[in-house]
Amino acid sequence: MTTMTNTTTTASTADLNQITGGGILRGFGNLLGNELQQWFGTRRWIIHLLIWVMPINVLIAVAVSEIMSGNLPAEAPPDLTAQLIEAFQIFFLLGGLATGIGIITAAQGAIIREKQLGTAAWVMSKPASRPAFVLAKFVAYTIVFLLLAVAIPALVLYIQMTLIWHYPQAVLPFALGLAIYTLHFLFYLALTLMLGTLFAARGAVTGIGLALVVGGLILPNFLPEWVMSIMPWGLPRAAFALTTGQPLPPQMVTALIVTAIWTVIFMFVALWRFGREEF
Amino acid sequence: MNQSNSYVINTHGLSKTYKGVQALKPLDLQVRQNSICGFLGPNGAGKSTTIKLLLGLSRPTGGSAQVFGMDSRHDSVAIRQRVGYLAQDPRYYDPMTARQTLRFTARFFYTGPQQAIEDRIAETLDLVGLADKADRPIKGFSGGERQRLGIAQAQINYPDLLILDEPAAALDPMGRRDVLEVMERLRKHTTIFYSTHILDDVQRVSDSVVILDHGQLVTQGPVTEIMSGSNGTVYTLALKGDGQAARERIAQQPWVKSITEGRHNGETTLQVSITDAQAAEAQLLRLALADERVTVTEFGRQKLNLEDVFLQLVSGGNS
Repeated sequence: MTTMTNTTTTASTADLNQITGGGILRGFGNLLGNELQQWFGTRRWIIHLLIWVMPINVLIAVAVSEIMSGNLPAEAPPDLTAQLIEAFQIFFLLGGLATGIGIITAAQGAIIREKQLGTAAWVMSKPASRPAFVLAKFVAYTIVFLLLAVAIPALVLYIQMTLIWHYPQAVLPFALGLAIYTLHFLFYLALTLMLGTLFAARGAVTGIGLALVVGGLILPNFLPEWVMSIMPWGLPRAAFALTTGQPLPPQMVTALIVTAIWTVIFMFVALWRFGREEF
Repeated sequence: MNQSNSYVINTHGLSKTYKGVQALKPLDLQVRQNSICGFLGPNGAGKSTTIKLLLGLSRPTGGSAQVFGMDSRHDSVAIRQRVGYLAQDPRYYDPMTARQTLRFTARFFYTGPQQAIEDRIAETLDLVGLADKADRPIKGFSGGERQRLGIAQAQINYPDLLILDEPAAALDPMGRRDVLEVMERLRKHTTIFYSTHILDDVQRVSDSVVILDHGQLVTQGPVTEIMSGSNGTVYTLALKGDGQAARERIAQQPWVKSITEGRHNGETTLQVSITDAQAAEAQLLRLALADERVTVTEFGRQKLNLEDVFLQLVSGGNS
């Protein structure tokens, strides 16, 4: 049987550099490191990378290969440039839908699971601030999705475009498009984290989040046009427009600003609510 | 140092209401520096609620709590810097190993040097007997091993105050003994405030006790004081014959606090509660035997243990 030893403590606090102060972000670095470890210290990141790269980049590759090999259906337009531009459409529109659903699915339990399991209470019994707990999750999921769902698939697409298909794609418009694309998933990430602080069950978090994503496919046909200005639904299309050199409609500019504001509001609500959480 | 400064924990009217139910009625609690204070009470008495309020994990409905003179609401991070806490049902990140868990915990307190942190982790694992399981994922740990890890993570930062919620609950007798030994070793450096249902343990290692019942403070103070203040020492005398005169003679003694009388099969049984054990030892039997018509068939000191006192004090004991 294992027993506790009778050794007296030998190390002392004198050997250790103690963290002092109780700032608003106390413990953030440690919490962020732990969050990232849960992704990059396991195979989870490889699985997610495959999930993001395989469907979008492979779909685009297959579509473009069909064009280049001439195996086009008779009614397909013959313009190769237009087809390559459509690759961006697939990337941003299909990818926008996928990242919205993906971030909600991945982050749905980020806060609720820790509340339910009791690990949040354990962490909060250490000298860590509550804002640090929520922000570490936000930053970690942002880094993970920015890398796995945006940067790497975008890099693969860029390589496909420039090196394989020799389509000259300017970097700056593409980067601006990706920035909008990123804002789109940040909206759903902030929403999911906020819902995680407000509800005690994952069903509500996932349900509300997914309803909003799916609503973006259906509701614009039935709602007044101004609603598009206050929702993030049009952002993937705006990202595509910017990347392909098309002008942004004023409504899209408003949607960009409002989505950014929504994201900040959601995070404020999440911080406020988690600050009042009773463990 | 004035008296209030010598208290590591000091609450004033601390209370908590959950959805209309008062889980903790206004509580004035004091725990002295370098003491081992047992926190007792039946299930639902409000022990865990109090602990969570002290740590800032929960917000009080009324009153205030000070730990190291700092307010639990406004300075909770600074308080937790100096506290080690073991929850009643401790939960950690299961994929992590014990070593990773302690490393994660230590990084809330220390920035380095890395080697010193690793040394501290190794030392703590050794202290709780988990050195040979240090690199196994926690999800395979037994309840007792989780509890040991809980104690390890609670004292990785050399806390000035250890708050342990049922530290020995999931342990076998050997593990329980080990926990008590660790607590006794740590008392030189640390104040220990712990809740438990195992009253033998409290009597063995604690120097003070707080008893809570139905969210209300029943009593608090040194263990010896609480036991003596609650009919602590009682002598039992069984007398054959008319014991009335003997009873009156005993009752007149200044060291006699109370006498409870019972009759059974012609014998009189006296439960004599006393305040001076030496005087009672020297005189009680003589006083009874002074009456030649009386025969003493039984004489002995009835030692009340903490469990008896606890049962007397909390409402459960009355039922």
